[in-house]
Amino acid sequence: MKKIFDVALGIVTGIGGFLEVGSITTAAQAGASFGYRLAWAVAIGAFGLIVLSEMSGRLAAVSGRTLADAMRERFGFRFFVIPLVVVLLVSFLVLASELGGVALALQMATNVSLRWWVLIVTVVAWALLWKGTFSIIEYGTAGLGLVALAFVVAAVKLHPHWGQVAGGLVPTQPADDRAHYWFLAVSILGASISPYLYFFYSSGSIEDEWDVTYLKMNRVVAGLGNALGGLLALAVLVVAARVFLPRGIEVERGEQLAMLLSSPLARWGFAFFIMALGVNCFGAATEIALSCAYLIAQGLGWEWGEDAHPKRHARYSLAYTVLLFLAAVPMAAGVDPLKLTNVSMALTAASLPVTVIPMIVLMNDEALLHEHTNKWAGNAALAVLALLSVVLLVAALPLQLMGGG
Amino acid sequence: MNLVHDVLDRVVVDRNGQHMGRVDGLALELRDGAPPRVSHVVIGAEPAMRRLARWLGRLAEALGRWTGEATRGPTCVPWEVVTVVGKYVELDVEAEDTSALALELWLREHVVSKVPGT
Repeated sequence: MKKIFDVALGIVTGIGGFLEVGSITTAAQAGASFGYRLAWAVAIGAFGLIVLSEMSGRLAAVSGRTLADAMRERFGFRFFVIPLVVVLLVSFLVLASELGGVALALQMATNVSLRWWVLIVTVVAWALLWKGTFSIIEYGTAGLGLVALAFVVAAVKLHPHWGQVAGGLVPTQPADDRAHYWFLAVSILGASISPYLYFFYSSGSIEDEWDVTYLKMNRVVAGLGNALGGLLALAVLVVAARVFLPRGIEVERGEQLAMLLSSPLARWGFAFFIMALGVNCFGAATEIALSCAYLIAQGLGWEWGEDAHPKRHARYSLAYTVLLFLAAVPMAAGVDPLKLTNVSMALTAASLPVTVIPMIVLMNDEALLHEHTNKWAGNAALAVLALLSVVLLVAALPLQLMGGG
Repeated sequence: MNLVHDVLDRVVVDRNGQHMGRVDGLALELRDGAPPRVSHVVIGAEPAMRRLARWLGRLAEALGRWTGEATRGPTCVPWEVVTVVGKYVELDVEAEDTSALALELWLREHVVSKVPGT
């Protein structure tokens, strides 16, 4: 019974983890500019996250080590410092974007500038973490965040041509604006496959004391949670394709995003959108702050955990404190939240090789995984992702310059 | 036992299971007419940074001198107190008797305790 409850909780958290400022913005921009044509990128993103989450969870359940533990122990400090620094840097940018997402939602609701809201949001997020209420935030935001299901309702109400939506699952290149198209594809992949998510997932498995009896549950949670999250992102894309594309609206400012739901769902739509954006970004922000503190603590051998109290875990608690407040700076200084989000997602995509490629070695190490090492299907999936990650690394910067603006 | 594979970079815990950091370095003792033996387990930013580059090690050392009491330099523990090498490297010491938790304790006293509402 407890496991069924855990599975449900895991799936809901997975959905909440998937949908945040990056996936909402990039899916909306993709739908607005290219209709259903970029649906494939959302699908590959969800697939990638399913594979990497399942493997991180399996690694944790069998070896008793988080992904960060295993990376440092297997490859040594000289290598570990690369994923450590890279993941911290891109996660920091994503964290700043999420804080911007919450502040943007509040700005739309109140007409008070997001530059002020971001300070309040950051202090609230920090105070909740400092007081050790992360599990409440996590389940609360995941539960409330389900208001994002409104995107699915809206998508259905807008009567898309489902055949054409399915057609978007096969990549095709548009006649013009190709640089923008591929830039959005890269951003969508970066928004879905965020390293902080699978590092966090493996840490959660250790905190919940998973062992080999949890492997089946791990598959279900990683698979269903992220697949449903991907479906929600797809719904955002469909809604944007129906609402923005016919009117020729390109998403350039945050305020435009609210139109996504006000058009199909009328008066309630605006409120639903504000809730979906604000709550999911808030959940993501706290999760990223903790995930970064976990990564540092695990890498350096400090004690860590969501219930770790500042009085007993000073270095760890101050790590997320410093990160959170530094991440508030870009928004408070007037950086545009949408622009920062796009850049962060593209850089996240470019960062993937340093975490995905080492996983090929870890997931085939019998000393860590015993008889639960990758089989051919797992290795094939990981090989595809590793290859994709290298393509993303090479393509991200040129596409950012050509198609980002 | 393979020192690099099984000992280096593992989490170090004291006799109560308190985390002390990771094995950032190992000190070897060179002996006449006998193979070298491991003399100390070393924990700290300086040995870790020195593994990346010598100048980073020097930088960490300078930072360590500058922070002084707050960090108290690297922790060297004689190999004789290692009781178990497994998932963790377990030591028969009290973490607080070493310098491994110096920064943690300094931050508790000088920073965390001053945060309102803690």
